[in-house]
Amino acid sequence: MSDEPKARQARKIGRRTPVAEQSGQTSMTMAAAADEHATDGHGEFAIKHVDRDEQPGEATFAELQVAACFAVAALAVVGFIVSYLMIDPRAAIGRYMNFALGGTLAIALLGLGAGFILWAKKILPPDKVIQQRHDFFSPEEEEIVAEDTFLKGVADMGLGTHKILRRTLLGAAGLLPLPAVLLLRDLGPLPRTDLRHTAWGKNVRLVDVESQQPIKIGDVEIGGIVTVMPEGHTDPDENALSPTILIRFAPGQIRSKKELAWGHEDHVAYSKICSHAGCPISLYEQQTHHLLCPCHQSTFDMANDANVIFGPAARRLPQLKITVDSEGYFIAEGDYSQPVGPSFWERG
Amino acid sequence: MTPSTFARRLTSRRRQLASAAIVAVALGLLGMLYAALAPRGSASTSADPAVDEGRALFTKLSCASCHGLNAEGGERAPSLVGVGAAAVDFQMGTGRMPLQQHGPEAPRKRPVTSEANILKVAAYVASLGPGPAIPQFSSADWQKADTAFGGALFRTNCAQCHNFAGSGGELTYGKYAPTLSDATPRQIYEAMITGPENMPVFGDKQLTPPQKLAIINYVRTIKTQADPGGVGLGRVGPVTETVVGWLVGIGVLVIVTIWIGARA
Amino acid sequence: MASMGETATRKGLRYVDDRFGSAGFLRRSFNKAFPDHWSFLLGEIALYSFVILLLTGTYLTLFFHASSEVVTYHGSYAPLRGVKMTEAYDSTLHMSFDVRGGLLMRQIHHWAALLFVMSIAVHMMRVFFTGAFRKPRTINWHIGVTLFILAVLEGFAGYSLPDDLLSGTGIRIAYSVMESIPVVGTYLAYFVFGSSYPSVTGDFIPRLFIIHVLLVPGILLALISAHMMIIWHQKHTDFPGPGKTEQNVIGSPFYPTFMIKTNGFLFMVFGVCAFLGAFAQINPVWLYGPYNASQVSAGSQPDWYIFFLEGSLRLMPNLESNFWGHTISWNILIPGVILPGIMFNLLYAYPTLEAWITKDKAYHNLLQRPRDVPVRTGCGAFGLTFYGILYIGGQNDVLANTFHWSLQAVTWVLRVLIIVGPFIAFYIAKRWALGLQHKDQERLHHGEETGIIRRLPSGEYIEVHEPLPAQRAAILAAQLGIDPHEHGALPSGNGHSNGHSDGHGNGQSPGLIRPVGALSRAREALEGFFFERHDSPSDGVDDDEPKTLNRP
Repeated sequence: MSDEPKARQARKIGRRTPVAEQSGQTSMTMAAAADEHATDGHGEFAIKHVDRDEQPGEATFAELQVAACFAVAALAVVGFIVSYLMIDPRAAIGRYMNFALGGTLAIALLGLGAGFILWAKKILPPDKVIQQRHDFFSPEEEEIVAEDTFLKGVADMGLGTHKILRRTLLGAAGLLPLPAVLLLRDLGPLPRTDLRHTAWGKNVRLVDVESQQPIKIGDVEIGGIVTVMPEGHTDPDENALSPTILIRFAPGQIRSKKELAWGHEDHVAYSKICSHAGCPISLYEQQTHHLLCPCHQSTFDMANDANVIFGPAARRLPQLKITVDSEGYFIAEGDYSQPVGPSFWERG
Repeated sequence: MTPSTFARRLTSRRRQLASAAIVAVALGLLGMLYAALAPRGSASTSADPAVDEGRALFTKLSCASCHGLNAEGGERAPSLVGVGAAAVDFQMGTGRMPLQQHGPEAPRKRPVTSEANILKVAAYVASLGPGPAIPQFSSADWQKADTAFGGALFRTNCAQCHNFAGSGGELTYGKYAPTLSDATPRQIYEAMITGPENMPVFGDKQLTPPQKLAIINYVRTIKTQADPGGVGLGRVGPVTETVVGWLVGIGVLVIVTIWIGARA
Repeated sequence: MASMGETATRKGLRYVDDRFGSAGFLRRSFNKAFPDHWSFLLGEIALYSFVILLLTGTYLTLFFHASSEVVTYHGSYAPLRGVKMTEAYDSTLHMSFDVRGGLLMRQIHHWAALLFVMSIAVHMMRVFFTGAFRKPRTINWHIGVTLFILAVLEGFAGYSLPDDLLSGTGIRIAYSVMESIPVVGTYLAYFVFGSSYPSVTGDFIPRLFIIHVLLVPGILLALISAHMMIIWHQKHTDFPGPGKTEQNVIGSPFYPTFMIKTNGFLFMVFGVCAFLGAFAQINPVWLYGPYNASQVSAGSQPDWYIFFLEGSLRLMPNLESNFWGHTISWNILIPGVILPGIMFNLLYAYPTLEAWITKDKAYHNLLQRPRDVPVRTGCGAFGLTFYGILYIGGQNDVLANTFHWSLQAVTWVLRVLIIVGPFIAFYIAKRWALGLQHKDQERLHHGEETGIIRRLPSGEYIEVHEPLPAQRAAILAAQLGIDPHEHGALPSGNGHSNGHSDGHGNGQSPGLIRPVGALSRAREALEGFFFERHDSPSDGVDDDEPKTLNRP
C-alpha cells in the first residue's frame, strides 16, 4: 500500500510502428447505404472515407491556389507596413491613409481566409465522421442516487427540523444584499423639484445662444426664429431645460389670444425642449408656422399656442412670458409656468 | 352771297369746326384721362435701363402670368413688392422660379436665363419696393471667416432642417429643406436674408454679415472636404450605413458560408 | 521510423496528458463531427465579430478619454479648432485624425458592431425557422436571446461614448424614456446619470464607459462561453439526410478539417470588416459636431438595432394620462418600455409555448424545414413583419425625403400596416409553406416531372414522372410526417420527425387526469390550429397510378 499517487510507466517514444498498423480499429470504411450503428472500438466514432475525385494535376493546382492566397496576404501585410511608415498624414497623400491601411489589411485577412478555406476544401481529405449521440439523460439509477445524495444533504443540514436556524438564516441572508443597494444611493441626487424649474426668472434677458448677445426688439425679422438662453446661464449643457425659441410673426398671424398676450408685439417665446422626449425642436416652417421636431416628428402650430397637430407629443410647448426692458431688450417676466420638457410621474 | 347766306354758311362751318373741335378735345381729354388712370403697362419709362429691361423680361419669362403684370401677386403667387433683389436673384439663380408645377416645394432646376438677365429682373423687382439687396462680397471675404464659429452657428440655426452636413432634411407634408451641395456662397447668403418658401428669415441683425460669412465658409469647407473614412454614403447617418452593412457585410459573408459549405 | 517532428509532438502530448489526463478528451474532440450545412456558420459570424470587437475595442481604449470635462480642440481637424467639447469627443477626434490607423480601427470596430447584431439576428432566425430551439436546446435559446439583448445595449453604449450630437440626442431620448416610468422614473434617471440631464458632474460618460468595456463584455464572454459549451456537449443539430438519424451526427471532423475551415472564416469575417472599415465611412463624428443640448440635426437616427424602438416612438399616437397630480406618458412608456418588454418576453417564451401547445416532450436533433411547420413559420413571419414595420418607421423621415413622399402620409401608412401587416404576413407565410408541402407531396406520390410526353394506346397524352430515389423519398416522407410506405396521409401542419423519441417523454402526455379548465381548452384549440390538416389540391389530377389515397 502506497501513499503516493500512481506514476505511469515510461514509454519509449520515437521507434514505433505507425498507429494505423497497430490498432486497425480507428477507421472503418462504410458501406454505401449508411449503417447507422457502425462504431469503432471505442463505441462512438466511425470515419466514412470519401474519395477526392480529382485528376493528377489538380492536387498540385490546389496547393498553388492556396499558396497564392497566402502569398498575396503576405504581400499585403508588407504593403500595410510600408503605407503606415511612408504616408505622411499631413501631406496631400494623407487623405488616402485610411484606404491604404485598411485596404492592405483587408486583402491580407481575406487572403488568409480564402487560403484556409481552399485548403480545407481542396486538400484536406473530405472524410466524414459519423458520431453517435449519447443519451442526453443519465441512467435512471444514477439520477436516483444523485437525487438521494442531494436530499440526504438537505436533511443533514437540518433546515427542515431546526426552525430557529432556518429562520435566522433567511433573515440574515435576506438582509445581506441591502447594504449593496444602499451603497447605490449616492449615485445621484434626488430630483426634488429640479425638473420644475429652469434658469429663467423675472427680468432675465434673452440672449442668443451662440453669440451670447441680448436680443433687441427689431433684431429678428418677420418670419425669423432665434434660439435664446437666459443671460448668465448660457451653457445649454448646464441648463438643459432652458433653451427657448423666439419667433416673430407678422401682425395678425397669431390666432391665440393667450399667445398674443404673453408675447410682445408679435414676438413669442416658447420652450425649445420637446414635450415628447426632450429633443431640441427648431424646424420652423415660416409660412405654415409649424414647428417640427426631427426626432419623432411631433408638429406644433406656433400660431395657435404651440398646439400639437401631428405626432406623438401629447402636450403643447410651454410659453415663456416676455416683454421688453427700458433699453428695448427682450426680458422674461418669470420662469415658465409649467415644467418644461418630457412628462414625468410627478408632473401633475 | 348775301350776309345771311354768309352767316348761315359760316354757322354751319363753325358748327362743323366746333363739332370737330369738340370731338378732338373730347378725344384728347379721354386720352389724357386714360393715360392718367389706366394701369401702367410696359410702356412707362424710368431712370435705370436695367429696370426697364427687367420689366420686359418679367413678362417675357412669364413671371407676370402668376405674379401679376405689376408683380402685385394674386391667387397663384405672392406679391413681389418688397421682396428685394436678393430674393429674385436666389429664386431665379437656383432655377426655382419660374415654377413649373405647383407642389409642396419648388425644386432647384437649371435657370431659364442668363445671370445678366436675372440681375435685370432683380433690379426691376427691387424698384417696386425696398427689400434685401443682393449681397456684395468676394470669395476672399468668406474664405477668411472663422470656419469653426460658422460650424457652431450652422449647428444651432441650420442643421435641424438641412442636416449636420447640409445633405438636406424632411419637413412636413412633402416639404423639405434641400441639400446645400449646389448652393453658391451668394445663394446661401440670399437664402438666409430672404427666407425662401418655408425657410425662416435670418436678418442681418440676428445673424450679422460676418456670422453669415462664417456659416458660408463652414458649408463650403465641409462640402469640398473629402471623406477620410471612405465613401460618404450620402452623409445622412445610420440609415445608409445599415443598408451597406446588410448588403455588403452580411450579404458577402452569407455567400462565403455557402461557399464553405458547398462540396469541393 | 518516426520523424523528429512526430517524436517531439508525441512527447509534448504525453507531457500534457501526464498532468491533465487529457488524452481521451483530446481524441473525442479531434474527431467530433461538425455538420456541414452553410447556415450553421451564421452564428460564427457573430462569434468572430465579437472577437474583432474585443481586439479593435482594446486598441480604442488605449486612446479614448472617458470624461465629460470640457476642453478646447486644438487638433488637426480645422473646422472644429477652437470649439469647446468634452474630452470624450476630443479624444475621439484625436484618434480619428492624429493617430495613424486610429480612424481605421474606429471604423472596423463600428462596422463589426453592426455585423455582430445583424449576424445574431440572422442566426436567431435560422434557429427559429428550423426548430433548433426545441428540447434539449431551449436553455441555449434563452442564453441566445439574452446575448441579443446585451449586444443591442452594448452597441448603444458604445456609439454614445464619443458624446457627439447624433448619439447625444439618443441619450436624451433614453433619459426621457427612463423619466417616463411611473413612480420611480425621475429617481432612476437621476441615479443613472448622476445628476440632472445631461450630467454636468461628469459621471455619465465614465459610467457608460465601464459598462461598455468591462461589465457587459464580461457578461457577454461568460454567456458566449456557456452557449458554445452547451453546443459542444449536446452536439449540433442537423437537417435530415442520407444516413442521418436522431441518434447520430454526421459531418467533418473537428480536427483538422473544421478547425481550418472555421479559422479561414474568422479571417474572412475580419477581412470583410476591414474592407468596410477601409472604404465605407461610418459614424463621422467630426461632421456631427460635439453634443449640445440646444442643437439637433435633421434625419437623426440611432444605429440600426435601435431602429425598431425609434419607429415605435414615432408611430405611437399621442396618449398621455393626467390624474391626481400625476402624469403617465403612454406615448413614451408603451413604445419605449412596454412594447420591447413584450417582444423580448415572447422571444424567450416561444419554445416553451410551442412545446406546451404541441405537447411535444421528445428530444429533437434533426431540424425541420420551414415549410414543414407552417404555423411556426407564420408566427415567425408575423414577428418579423411587426419588427420590420417598426424598423422602417424609425427611418420614416429619411425615406420621405429620398422618395419625395409626405412625412405624415408615410407615418399614417405605417400606423395602419403595423396592425394589419403581421396578420397578412402570417397568412401568406403559412399558405406558402403549405403550398410547398403540397409540392413535396406531389413529388413523393408522382415522382419528378421529366418533361417527356408519352401517348398511351388509348390516345391519352401523359407526362412521364420518374419516382424519387428511395433514400430521397424516405427523407421527404419523414419531413412531411408521412409513413413512407403508405403515401396515404395528407400533409399536416407539424412535420414531426420520425426519429426515435428518446428520453423520458415519448411525445404523449402521461396518464394524469388534468382538470378541463379554460387553459386546457385553449391549449387544445391552439394544438388543433398548430396541427391543422389541409386538403391537398393536387388529388384527382392526371395520374396513371391507381388512386391509393386514404382520406381520414
